[in-house]
Amino acid sequence: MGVPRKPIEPPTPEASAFLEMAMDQYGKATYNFAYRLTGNEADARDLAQDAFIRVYRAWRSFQPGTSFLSWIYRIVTNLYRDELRRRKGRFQEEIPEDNAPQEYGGQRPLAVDPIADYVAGQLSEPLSKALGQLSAEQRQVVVLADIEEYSYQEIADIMGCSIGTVRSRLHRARALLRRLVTRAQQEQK
Amino acid sequence: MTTHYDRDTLTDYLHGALEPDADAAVFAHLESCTSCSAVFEDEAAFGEALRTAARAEELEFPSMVKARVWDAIRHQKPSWTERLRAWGPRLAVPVAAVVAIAAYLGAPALHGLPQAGVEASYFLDEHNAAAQQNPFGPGIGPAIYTPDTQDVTSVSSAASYIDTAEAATIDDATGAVR
Repeated sequence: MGVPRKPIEPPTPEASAFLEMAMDQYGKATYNFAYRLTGNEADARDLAQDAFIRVYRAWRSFQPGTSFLSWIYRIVTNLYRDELRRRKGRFQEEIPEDNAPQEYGGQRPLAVDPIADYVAGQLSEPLSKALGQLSAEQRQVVVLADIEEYSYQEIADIMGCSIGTVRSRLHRARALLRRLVTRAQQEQK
Repeated sequence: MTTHYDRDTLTDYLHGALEPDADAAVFAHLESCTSCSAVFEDEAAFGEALRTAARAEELEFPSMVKARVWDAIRHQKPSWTERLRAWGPRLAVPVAAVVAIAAYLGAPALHGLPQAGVEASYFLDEHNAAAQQNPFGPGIGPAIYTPDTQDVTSVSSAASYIDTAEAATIDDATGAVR
């Protein structure tokens, strides 16, 4: 860490007020989103911190009337992606091709998985573990679609990809999550 | 034969991501198909399980993050755009002056090199100096025009002067002997 330098300009009252309000109102959601992406609190703190610094620097580019949460989730997503690239090798995971053939050739059997058992049982732990085993992109799309309940279009905007990519990532992520949770539950028994 | 929907389609239906026609068709189908309806309920329960798990793990925003954000903002190195913005008013006048001077000086270069502004007398003086060093040397020229005296002195050789001196006429502009 170098010696901190003094900024040329002190924080302006408008930017400071904007940031203060953003952290008060959306700090928790942002931090939890970061936590679900990273899977640990230390990285989530760093990610949330960097995101709010970015908010401070770019607060003028936020358009009133649009969703602040979508905006900051986009910032968090981009920062997380940059961080993964920076740490390339440490967190690199095999990401299935979105255009790869479907496992069941589009004719999936309609056998019902025992999801009701998941709900009734201790779900938090196996689900959290399973989420951590998804690729970064799959985890993002599950968090945004199933936990934050964003539409595919909103997710595509946040992640900077097409709706088709969101769709295929979500399908694969959910299928993988099911397998991982089922396996975890079988191991518990 | 009854057509069933696959899990992916039902996932899209659950997330409201189908086109209106397809959405209506799936809705009607689920009313009558217990098999697909069971898969749909399963998908919905899975999503609810994810939300429940997320809520169970919800964390408070650490106050240290807020403190670190403010600390970083107060001490971090400003970006180049911020530096430029901060220096803008102070740099504007000098930069404008430099640009104006550069434009003034550089304008002729845009129209090619300037023509040499050397007067004819410069060439005459040079010519005389060379001739005086070696008045009989070859290749200097036939004669020298001296503006002060209007004399013609020999340049290349005495013989050439003798042959041409009387008939010589002097070009005022160039000093050449004709």
